[in-house]
Amino acid sequence: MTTSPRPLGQLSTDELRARRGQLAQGLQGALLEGLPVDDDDAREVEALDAELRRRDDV
Amino acid sequence: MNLGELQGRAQALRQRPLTADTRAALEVLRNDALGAGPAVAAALDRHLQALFVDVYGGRAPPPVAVTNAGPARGAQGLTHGGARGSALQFFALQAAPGSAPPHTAGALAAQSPAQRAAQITARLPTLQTTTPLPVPLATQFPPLSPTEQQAARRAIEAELSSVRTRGGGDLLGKLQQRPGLSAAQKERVLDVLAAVKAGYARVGAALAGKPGGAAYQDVNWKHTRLELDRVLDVATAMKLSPAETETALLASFVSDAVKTPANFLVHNVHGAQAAVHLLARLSPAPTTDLIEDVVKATLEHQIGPPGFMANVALRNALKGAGVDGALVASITAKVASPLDPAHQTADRTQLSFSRDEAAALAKVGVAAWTVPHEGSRHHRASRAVIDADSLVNYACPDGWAKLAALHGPDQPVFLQEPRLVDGLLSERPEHASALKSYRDALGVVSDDSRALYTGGLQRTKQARERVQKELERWVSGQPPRSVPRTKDGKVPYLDGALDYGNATQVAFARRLRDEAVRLLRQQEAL
Repeated sequence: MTTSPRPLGQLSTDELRARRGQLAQGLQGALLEGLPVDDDDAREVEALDAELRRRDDV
Repeated sequence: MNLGELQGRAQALRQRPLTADTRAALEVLRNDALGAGPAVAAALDRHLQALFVDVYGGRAPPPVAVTNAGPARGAQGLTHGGARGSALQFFALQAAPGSAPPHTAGALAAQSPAQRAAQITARLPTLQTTTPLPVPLATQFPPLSPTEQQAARRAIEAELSSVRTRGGGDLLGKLQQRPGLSAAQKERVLDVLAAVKAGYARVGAALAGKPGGAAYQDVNWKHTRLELDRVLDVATAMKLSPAETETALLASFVSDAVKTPANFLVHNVHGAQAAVHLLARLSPAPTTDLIEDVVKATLEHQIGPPGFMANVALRNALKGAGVDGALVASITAKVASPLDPAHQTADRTQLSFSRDEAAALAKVGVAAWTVPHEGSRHHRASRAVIDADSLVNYACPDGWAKLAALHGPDQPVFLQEPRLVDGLLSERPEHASALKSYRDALGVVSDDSRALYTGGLQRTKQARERVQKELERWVSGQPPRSVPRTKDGKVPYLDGALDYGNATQVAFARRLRDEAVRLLRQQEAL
């Protein structure tokens, strides 16, 4: 997974969702093979979810 | 273990004939000594130098290969293994080479297993990694007495005959009735499969509750068993010859035979080493061509699913080793498209890396990323192994059951979808799903197997629909007051969105998910 190039606030909602799905897909693969989950990726998903919730609430 | 005990074991080994197995047992002993500390290891080496002049020539033994029994364990060992890795341990099996490589079974038969292994290994430089083996190959696959061998064969045949295949038969019958496979080929296939199964149990016991321990190895075994069924299907679809079918079966068995989370990135190399170890000792001896083909197909199975291997397995390991982000990106771009000739070496046998990329890969134990290429003798067998592996993981109900178990209640937040079906079939951009993994693996499925693969998806989707109906019946059989409802009156995680903050809903969804996993597994043989 490449790092998201821009701050979350500058990404469109579609971009946030796509990035979230990309990360989650990779994390699913890691769990399937019993590999350690990348903490940075897991934290980024949480941040993306928070940003998506914030926009839903606006 | 103290020095006295280690010396006692050395004395016992001295009483045995000096075979490859004895040499391998010496390496295991030295590994165990390392675990007791460097002073004990050095003292044992001095003892061995005097006791085994015929092995060490009266000189100090060479640096010992490091395994999980030694000090360089797990991921640390993977990154900092230096020159002391499983390649050394593996090469410790060698006897003195010298004669020209034989190409016939007759010439091979005149050699010891160690000589066969050494000659084959000398021709395959990609069989190296600095990553330690989970346990030494001599420990995972010890030689069996004729009585033990017969018992293992009886057990594996009994187990395969109890596994139903689609169409009503059993797995042993499907193998035995495979057109064209000779009795000798079936013997080899079953002997190696029996050894692989026993090896899983030994690694599981050795690692116990650690990552890659008993539960992990049990999953590995069940995967291997199911892959046997799928290799036979793929062999039919690809119209493989009996020789290609045997190569594919053997490579399929060993490809995951030495796999834990700690060696995941190079389990293809360790599996290929296991192939040499297991095949070189068979009697009657197989040809070098067969062993080489199995080894190469095993090495190449690592290419799939390409997106996962590149952007998760390799990327995370490189990142953990402190590799620069631009280098990680350039390496993973190649690994994500392994069949693109633009990424391959001139001979098309592996991916082409710059000096900097190769140095970065060396930090995580990867010496080469071997890829299948058309025109090689083993190419179709190699593709069959990759296709069968993809079928088992991503295009069958059993594979989707594993993925269903990873989603929902008690799982990380990034896999907490609103409904069971979302973790399986969702195409929404924000979700992970089994369908998306299926598509990733599709990138390396051969043209010949594509219909089988897409058919597998259709079968799996139909199985999921049947499971959905069975779950609806299961819900209707529950006491109504025990079934929570969403605000719009639906069943959470079944046809309504689960509220992960609602403990009652989560508890019910947990039961629902477990029932779904059970039912999906049941669908496998239908």
